[in-house]
Amino acid sequence: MGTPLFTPTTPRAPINFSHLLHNDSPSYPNEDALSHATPLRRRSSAESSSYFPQTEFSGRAFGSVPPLTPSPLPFPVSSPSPSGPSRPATSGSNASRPSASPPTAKQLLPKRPHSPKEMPPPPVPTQLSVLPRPQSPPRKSNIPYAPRRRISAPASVLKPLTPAEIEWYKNYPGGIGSQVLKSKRKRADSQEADADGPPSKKAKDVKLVAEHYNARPEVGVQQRNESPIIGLKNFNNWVKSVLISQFAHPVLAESPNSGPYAQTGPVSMRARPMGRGAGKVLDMGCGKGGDLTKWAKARIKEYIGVDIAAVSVDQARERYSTLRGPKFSAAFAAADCYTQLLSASLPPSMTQSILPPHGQPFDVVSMQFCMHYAFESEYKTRTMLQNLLERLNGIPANASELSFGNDVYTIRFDERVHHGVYGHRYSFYLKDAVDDVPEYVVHWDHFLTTAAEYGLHVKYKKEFHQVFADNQEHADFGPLLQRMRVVDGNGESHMDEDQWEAAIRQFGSAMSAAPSAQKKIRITGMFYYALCEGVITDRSGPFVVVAADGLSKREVFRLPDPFAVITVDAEQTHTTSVIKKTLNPYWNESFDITVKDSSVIAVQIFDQKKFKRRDQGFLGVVNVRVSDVIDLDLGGHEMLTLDLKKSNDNLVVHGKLIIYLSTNISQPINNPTGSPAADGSVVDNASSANLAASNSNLSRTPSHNTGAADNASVHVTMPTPSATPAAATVPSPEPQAPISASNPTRPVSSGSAVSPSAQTQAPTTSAGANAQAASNNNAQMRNFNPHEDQYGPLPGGWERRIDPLGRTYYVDHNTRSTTWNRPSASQTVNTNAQDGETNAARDQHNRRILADDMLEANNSGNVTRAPSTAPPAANTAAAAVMASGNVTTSGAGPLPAGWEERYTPEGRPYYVDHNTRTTTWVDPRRQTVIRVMGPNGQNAALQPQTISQLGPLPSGWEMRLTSTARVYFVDHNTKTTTWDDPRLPSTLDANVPQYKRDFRRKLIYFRSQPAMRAQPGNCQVKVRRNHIFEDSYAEIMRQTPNDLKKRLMIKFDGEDGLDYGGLSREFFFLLSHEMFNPFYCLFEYSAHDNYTLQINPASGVNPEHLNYFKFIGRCLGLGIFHRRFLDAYFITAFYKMILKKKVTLADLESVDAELHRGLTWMLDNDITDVIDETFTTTEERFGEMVTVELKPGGGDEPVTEDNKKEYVNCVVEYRISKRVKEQFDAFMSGFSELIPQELVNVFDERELELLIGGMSEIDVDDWSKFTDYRGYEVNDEVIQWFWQCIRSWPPERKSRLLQFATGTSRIPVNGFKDLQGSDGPRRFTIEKSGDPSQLPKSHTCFNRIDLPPYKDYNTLEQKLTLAVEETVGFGQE
Amino acid sequence: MTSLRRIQKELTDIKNKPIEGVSVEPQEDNLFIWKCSIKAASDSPYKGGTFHFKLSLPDNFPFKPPTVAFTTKIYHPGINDEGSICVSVLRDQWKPAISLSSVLDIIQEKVNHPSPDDPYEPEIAAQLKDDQPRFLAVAKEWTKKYAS
Repeated sequence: MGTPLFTPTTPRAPINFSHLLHNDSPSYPNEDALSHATPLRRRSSAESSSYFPQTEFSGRAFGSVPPLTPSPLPFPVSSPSPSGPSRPATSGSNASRPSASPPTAKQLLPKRPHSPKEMPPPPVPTQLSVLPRPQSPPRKSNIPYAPRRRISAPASVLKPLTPAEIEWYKNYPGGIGSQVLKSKRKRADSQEADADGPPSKKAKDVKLVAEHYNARPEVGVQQRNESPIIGLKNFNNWVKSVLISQFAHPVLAESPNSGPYAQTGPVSMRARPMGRGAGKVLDMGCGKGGDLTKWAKARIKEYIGVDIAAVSVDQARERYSTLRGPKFSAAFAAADCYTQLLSASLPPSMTQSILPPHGQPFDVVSMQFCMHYAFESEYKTRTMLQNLLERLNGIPANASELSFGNDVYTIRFDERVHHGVYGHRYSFYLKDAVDDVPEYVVHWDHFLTTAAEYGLHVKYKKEFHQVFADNQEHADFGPLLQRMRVVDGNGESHMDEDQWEAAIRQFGSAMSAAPSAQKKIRITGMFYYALCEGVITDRSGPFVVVAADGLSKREVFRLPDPFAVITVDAEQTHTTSVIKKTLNPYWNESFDITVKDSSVIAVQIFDQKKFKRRDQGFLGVVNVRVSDVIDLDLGGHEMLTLDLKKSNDNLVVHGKLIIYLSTNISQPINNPTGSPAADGSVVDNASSANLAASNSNLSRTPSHNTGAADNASVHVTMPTPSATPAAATVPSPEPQAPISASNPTRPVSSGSAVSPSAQTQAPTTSAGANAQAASNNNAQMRNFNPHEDQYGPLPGGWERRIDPLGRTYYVDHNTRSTTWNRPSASQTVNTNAQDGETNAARDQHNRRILADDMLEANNSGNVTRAPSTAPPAANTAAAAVMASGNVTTSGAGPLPAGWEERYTPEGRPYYVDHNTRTTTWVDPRRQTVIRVMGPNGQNAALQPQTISQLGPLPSGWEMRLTSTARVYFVDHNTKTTTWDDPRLPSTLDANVPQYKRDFRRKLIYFRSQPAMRAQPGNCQVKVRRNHIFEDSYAEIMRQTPNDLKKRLMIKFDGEDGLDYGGLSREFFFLLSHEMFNPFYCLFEYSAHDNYTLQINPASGVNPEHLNYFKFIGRCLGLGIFHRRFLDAYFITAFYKMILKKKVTLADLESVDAELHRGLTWMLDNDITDVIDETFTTTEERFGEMVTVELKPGGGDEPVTEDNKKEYVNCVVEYRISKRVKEQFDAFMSGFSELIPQELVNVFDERELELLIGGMSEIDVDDWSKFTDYRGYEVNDEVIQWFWQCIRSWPPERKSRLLQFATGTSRIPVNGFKDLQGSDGPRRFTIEKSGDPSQLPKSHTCFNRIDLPPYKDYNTLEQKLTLAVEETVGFGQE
Repeated sequence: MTSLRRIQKELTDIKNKPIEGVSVEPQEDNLFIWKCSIKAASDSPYKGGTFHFKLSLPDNFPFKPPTVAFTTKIYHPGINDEGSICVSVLRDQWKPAISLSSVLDIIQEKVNHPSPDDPYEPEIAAQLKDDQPRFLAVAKEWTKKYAS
């Protein structure tokens, strides 16, 4: 059941989506790299920030003072002076964080030799040419489809010889394989001999070629279209057409060989002058006759097709016989034009027409895609040239048809170094066309020289993509591109990136394979070798051994070809070789990488066979944080066995990866000592650890702390201890207790330096290990042990450490706190200084909070920088509150491991659970507090269950406090309230506050949730204004969801300005106009003249549409997260779908009023004998009527009076959600990466619209001015009351009324006078309708409210409020 | 395809019980489009004229009303320049129970008996009201020019 969605003018996608995506493709599988980035991590200071309530300080505090590490209770930062003079000024606070962006395409790929400079100078084309030069078509400077970056892995193109293949070649009947393998040298020697006569042994290659092509069946056009490389084939075809038209046509036009049709037939190609034409063509590689049509179009008179493969020739002959259109006479023969002179090899019947004495010379000799076969030897080349010459029209310069090139899927060179001019053989594999056929590099210079000897000169030589670039806009060839299906109607190529690569690679190949070789070699193959060579030669010593075990098998019959990509902090990228067909690859390759402590080494495993497809072929990833496995200062090595993890897609991965890391002791550290520990050491290997999928269990074999003495990365400079020595004042409970009671998921470190410490060099604090640590540090610290420095010994219990950035900080084991400031001997001084600072900071924040008191309830944590130093006064105040509240009275005894008690500015205690990174009012030591404190205060503690362990509230629930600080729960799903924690079995309820929708409270709750807190750091998004859609796509999709939660910094290319809000507002504004533009076919307006958006069910015209929906989902999430508004309004049903609410018939009204009416009628009337339907619906898809079953077997189930309700539901569901399910799911996958479902569920659909689209102050004057009345007059009392009531409302309720009446809070740009209904302009209308006892009703498609004639103002206000607040959408009352 | 069943049924009904003066022929390849024509009644201002129109059935017929577009020009207060006809049953008065036969009846009635009420072309309606002879003359002239 569709409105005419597929209008004939389906707009074309104006941007090249595929090309866009190419930028992003490879990083896709790794999109979540960072979220997995630290399998071994402990909470680092930076990470913990998300739940540290002190967000305002985050920039400075986090990462500035490392927490005391092995302690299970992360120490809250004990307030270092933010701008203290003693703070070692090094890099910014974020510097210690690993780079968060996943490797981009570029980074994933090794550098390839960039070749254009090595390109031999193009031959001078003109002077030797006899014919007039073809007009050069307008040049386009860029290659339209060339992916800007290389996409696929280098290894994905090359197919290395497998042992089986080597065997095959060895055993090949001709035995050439064995020759190739054995006698490379010999071949070089035999070069001379080759030139002299027909070589016997090489003839076997010829045989191979012939056999290959003979074996390839002619598949017919239909099947050809299904070829996986159809795009490439079409492209090649087009190139050939261009060449034939450009060069053969003029020659043919002037040919004396006028044919019978030349004068009569219509001239189809503009390139040909009227009335002229015909000519003779010799095709020296006619193949299966694929060019026959092209020659027919050239209106030739005679055609001789010769090919080495007899079967092909037969097929060509057949094709000729079925050729439609003007015919030419043709003859075909199987012959090898490269070894025999044609005059000698052709059957006598043909020689007659061929040889000059009898027949006329040829006008054109065509050798499309076959010339390179001749370059086996000079003899062959010469034979070829001679054949060429003899056949041509006497004028040697007519060798215009020497167009070359082919397209490669795989090229495999027999030898890396090629010898001499000829015989540089490679075997060539083109998917679905050519299977490993030996071919030869065309030595272009030599070819020219040789050709010149025969008087042939080059007229035109271009790479294919150049040909494409030159001709795609050409009047004839441009449209031809489409006709030949090289590109589709949108100008998009059907070639996937690999095919493009194959087509384009011709360029690069020529250059680096052999500087003077012709374009036939694709560099892709060479990359592979180059890569390996580079890796092997550059390597010196240390190893990263990579092997994987038990990779996941995606297909039943096929084993993957795994290779690994090693990335360090998304920067250094190394790629291993490909191990074929195994689930247990063993690479044993080594790479030197430069790391620092915070570095994350990512090893991704891909299946080479599938890698080329975006996010396919991903076999798993491991991420290792260096500091977790190895201590760079101490050196050592680790062998790690890690579980492979999946990336962002949901494909299962399993298997393990073994890597070996070791510091490179043999090699000095190259890094300058200027930034000592920050980026010093080189990791290479390591010892083994078994990393469970939950990123914390680390079992490891012992590592060796070796070579500490010669480690160069020593931090020498000590910060000057300032006059304000500070120390932590936190009187922690029993220092040791929390350690032993430590979080069970973390192994307790076993005493010595082995502990996998997260961020600190000195890996231990446990008392017993101090000695060990001391000795280690001793080595690092040159002359000082950790307990003293140049100013003398530190106070007792203090230790000096160096953070990953090389800054010195001090650990107070007495109070288990850290500080930048060197402690003085006097503890009290420390304390006082500390207090002063804390108070100052608190004051500052108190001011902020006051101004912002809306958010006070949940952001209270912001205030206390050092919570445990909260003044006692506050404590008492809190206690008072508690007493009255009966809820969160402090429990007794120590807090559980990982918990911390803090205070709000009001002094109310709350609890931070660092394990789950949540906060709660409920003291974890108090079990089932809420249950206990029933309405009557009776103690009924039944279950010893800790509230805080219950996890988050169910979706759509919110926890609130009464004025007496008593906790109650709000269920926004049912709009009810309860005292009972929904996570607990319920008890009796009494006197719970009445449910009241409160958008503001919901927002506060929503914003306060940990998941909605900004991450530390910046999320940079740089876009060009004119390309905001594609740039944003690339930028936003390349970042991980976690990155996107950092402070958003929008930068418009070429514009100055820092994003303090304005730029990102502008950004979202512009972007929403772009991405929701119906022009892109992703969204459409729900109805004619109605600007609410819905997903376009036909978005599939863009094959990448799902990625775009995911992107749009992310953008919406991003906007909500960063409190920016999009200028976009959706149909109500869309919001309901986001909220996972069921769509109803009422939701259809604003979308399709007619259908809504029809279905409503159906429900209201007896349909027997009126409706003859089944459970199906019909819709038009691209001009075709398609019947869709609304449920399985629906086609056979008639709709009756009894099941009509179900039918209506089915239709509504289909019409609104089912037919766009794919798109919507993709959208949600992006959206929920930023906004968790359970959080957004507290809102209703109207609130969600305001959340996404923002809220504006509504101009009631304008509204009332452009209101129509039916049954009322403007001056009626009820109308007066109505407007009076609305004016008194807060903005949100006004918006809600507007949503109630029109379906959206959007106001037309020009105000209410432009208000649109679903069938055109519809001003806001108030109709007198209904009984005063009823609520007002609305008809969103007509922007109408049915307002009963209420008797007084209060009734009106009450009814109207109720309708607006409580009914969501018409028909729900 | 279920809407087709209903359409076919309607078509059979009309074939079995033709409306005098109205001919109906579904498009060969598409049952959702009917080519219809009305022969004006002898007592109508358009007498002697045959007026062709296209009746298009939406894909979710009968939940949605058909649409009608005249292809023959007619000087009629209820039919505009683009051939749209103003009939409430094709708009908000549509109900799935209404048969196409009665829709055609209504259209025929509307064509034969132009009324100045609820006009699509207010000027023609005004003329019909104020200067009926002139209206009849133009209607006749147009009928001769376009519809015969």
